[in-house]
Amino acid sequence: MISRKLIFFVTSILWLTVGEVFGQVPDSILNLEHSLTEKLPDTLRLNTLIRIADYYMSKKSHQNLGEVYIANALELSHEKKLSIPYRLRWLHAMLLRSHEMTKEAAAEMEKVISYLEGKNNYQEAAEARNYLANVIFFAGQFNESIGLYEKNIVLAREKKLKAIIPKACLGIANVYGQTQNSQECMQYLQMFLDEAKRENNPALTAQANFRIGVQIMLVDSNLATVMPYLQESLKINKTLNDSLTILTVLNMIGWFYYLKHEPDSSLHYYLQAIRFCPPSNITGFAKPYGNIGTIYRDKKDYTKAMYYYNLCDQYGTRTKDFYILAGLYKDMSDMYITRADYKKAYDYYVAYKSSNDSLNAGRYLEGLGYARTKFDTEAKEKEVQLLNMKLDQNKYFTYGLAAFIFLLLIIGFLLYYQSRMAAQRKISEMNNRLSEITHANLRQQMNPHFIFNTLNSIQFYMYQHDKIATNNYLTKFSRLIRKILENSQHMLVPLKDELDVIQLYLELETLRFKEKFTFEITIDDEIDTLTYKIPTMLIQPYVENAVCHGLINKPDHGLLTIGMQLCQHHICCTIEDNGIGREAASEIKKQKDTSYNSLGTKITESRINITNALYGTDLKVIFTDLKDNGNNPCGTRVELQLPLMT
Amino acid sequence: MTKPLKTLIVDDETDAVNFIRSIIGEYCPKLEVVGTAGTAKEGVQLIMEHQPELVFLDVEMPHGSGFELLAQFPKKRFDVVFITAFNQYALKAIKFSAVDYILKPINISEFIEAVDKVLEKRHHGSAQGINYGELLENLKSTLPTKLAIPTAEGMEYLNTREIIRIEADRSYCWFYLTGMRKHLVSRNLKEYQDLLSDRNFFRPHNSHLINLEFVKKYVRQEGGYIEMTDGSQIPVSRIKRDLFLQQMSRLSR
Repeated sequence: MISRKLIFFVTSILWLTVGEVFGQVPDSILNLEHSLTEKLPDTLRLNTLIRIADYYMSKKSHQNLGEVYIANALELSHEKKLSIPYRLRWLHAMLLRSHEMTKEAAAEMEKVISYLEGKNNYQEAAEARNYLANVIFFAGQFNESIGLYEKNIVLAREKKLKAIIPKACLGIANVYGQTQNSQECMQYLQMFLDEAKRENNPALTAQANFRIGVQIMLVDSNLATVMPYLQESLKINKTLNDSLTILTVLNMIGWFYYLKHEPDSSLHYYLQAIRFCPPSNITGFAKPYGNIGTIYRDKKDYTKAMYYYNLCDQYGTRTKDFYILAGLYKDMSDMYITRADYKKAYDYYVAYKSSNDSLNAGRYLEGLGYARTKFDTEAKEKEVQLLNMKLDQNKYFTYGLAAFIFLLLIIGFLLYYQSRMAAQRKISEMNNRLSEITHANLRQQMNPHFIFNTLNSIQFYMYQHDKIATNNYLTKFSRLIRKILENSQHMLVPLKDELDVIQLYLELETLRFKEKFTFEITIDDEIDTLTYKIPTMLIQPYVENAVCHGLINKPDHGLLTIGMQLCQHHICCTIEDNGIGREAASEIKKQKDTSYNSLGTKITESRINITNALYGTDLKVIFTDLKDNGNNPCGTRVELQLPLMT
Repeated sequence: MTKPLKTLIVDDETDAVNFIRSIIGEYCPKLEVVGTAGTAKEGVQLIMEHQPELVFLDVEMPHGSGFELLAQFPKKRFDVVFITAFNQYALKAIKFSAVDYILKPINISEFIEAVDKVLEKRHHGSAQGINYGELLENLKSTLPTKLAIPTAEGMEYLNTREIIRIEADRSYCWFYLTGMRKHLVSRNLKEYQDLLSDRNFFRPHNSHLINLEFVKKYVRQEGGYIEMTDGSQIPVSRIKRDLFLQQMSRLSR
């Protein structure tokens, strides 16, 4: 009977530790949760809720669940008028802090501390004070935070408390780290290490070694001084058999070697990380696999790179770890850029964007992910803000600062991503180009002269009391504007939509210029104008050019023909006018000294280049000056070779 | 001289009501405006009171849309011309249901055309085959599903999942449906391509629009053709071949 109990005990302990590490909920908690479904005395129910909340709050990935239990416990104590246990107050403070309500969190913690001190429970009171100092630090009150930590160190010495002094040292180091006082930060990290050793606390010693290593890397990135600390941390963690921490350290070592361009050493440590990773820890695999992929990518061994990237993709996708996936897709996109495979580069860039979006969407569930994403985009901005805050610890900045401090707290771990920025510059370049295209679209939606001249014509008809003509003009104009607004929301639009714009535009221009010119549009029957797409407002500027420069300046009646033929690998679009020709037109333009600068075709040309780079197409424009038998200019032909895009 | 058609205008915007009334007064002598309403509720009252023969009905009104008004008259005896300010979503449903409509801002020539169409229809005394219930249904779902096609007997409403393929025959279209049924429709293939493109329909050839759900197999020989589940063989133009295979792989994923 006894042996049976023992086995049960041992297995439950095993379960607990495994659960601790890999985020599976242990049976003991599940049993507690189950007990809630039964009828329980109020105090027991309250304590059970608190125990479960306590467990979930200690797990980064389950904090949202923890928050629900805390809320339930608070509600229960309020409803049944039970006094709130100090542990619940503490949890409440954690909840408040995670919602950036630092002032309220601090007030709760002060109540906890005075309660515990009243009960002479100095150990927990000191722990609570460490936490309070951390909360205040989040609120941006740096000096107050350091003062509290120091007070705690004195008290802990007096009462000979355990594990308080090292943690307080770490807290102070963190404050200095965030205010960029690296000398003081280092000093306190060293104290952290000394105190941890003195207390004979291997877990804290290992953590101290790790932090010192990372800090040195941050300051002068000298591997020779960094490595002994990390190796020491690794050694201690191995004796502690804490596989999650071992994994973190190995990944960090691998990353540092990668930064220092020692791919072979880096590879060695990443492979070790994979070996140390227990099979059930799926997330643990994704990161080293992704980085091994990148090492092979840099070595230009693309087969191996793809193999490891795919493994990373598999593990990352299984756990929906969008943080890792976003990094992976960025790396892969980067790889395809260097290999000039822009189509795939673009595909992975899109995948990166959507992973990033998923990351953003889940940010309330996982505070860490939130912080990481924010870091990527806002780090620079926030740095400036921090400087301001150091000057005057303005309360209005409290919210922004709290988020920022959280970001910087994990900066050691984020170093990994920060340094990648350089490699990702190419992607951001592509991003810039994309926004450029969008802007160009907006800028050149329509020539303002055209808009106002059209309105002027409408006004003229109104004045003439020609109701039908006014109405006809106005409805056409409104349809054209609507169509352009709709189209400008997309990078690519079906050929038909662009043709609709051109048709309406030309109808309006012929109304405006009466007998000045006529136009014909002929589309090859074989061309499926609904399926094939082109960049928005690509053709219209050329048509506008033909009308405004070629035909309007012509003394007699003009003809504009637009044709589309299906060729071997593209659609051939020709815009031909029998106007005065380009040379004469530019001559007239000079004389006129127009204030309106025609950006239309210029922007279109740069958009053509960008489209080609982005989609790997070969969109081309060919201008031909037409000559009659006497070799006099008799018009212009523009030929656009439109790739078959869908 | 026949009696003018009793006409009602329902639109929440006074300017729009007045404008339509003016157009009718000036250009449509065969209509007589018997009343105007600013809300759907008022419209219901006026319809019961006046028993009009034609109603101009704004689709988008703040208190109860034009369609909700129609829902009150399941056995309606009047013709309806919808007026819409180009709400993409409503427009798609209207086109799907093949009912008469005009766009805002109103083009006078188009307005007169729409009125002539109604007058001609009434002159022929053809039964009002239009079922506004289907239109309501199309509007309620995010993707309209009941496609109205004009046939000799009136309107037929097809579920898009019944359509295997559509073949162009000059300016006509043959609809091939499940159960070996087929219909000839006097519309352009392109119009249906536009309506059905987001419903897994694909145009492998200039004169064919197919429902990808009914593709049986693709044969590479003889320039490549598609065999549909009803046994018909559809040619694939060279230029569409890659696109077709791409679409199929997307579908099967």
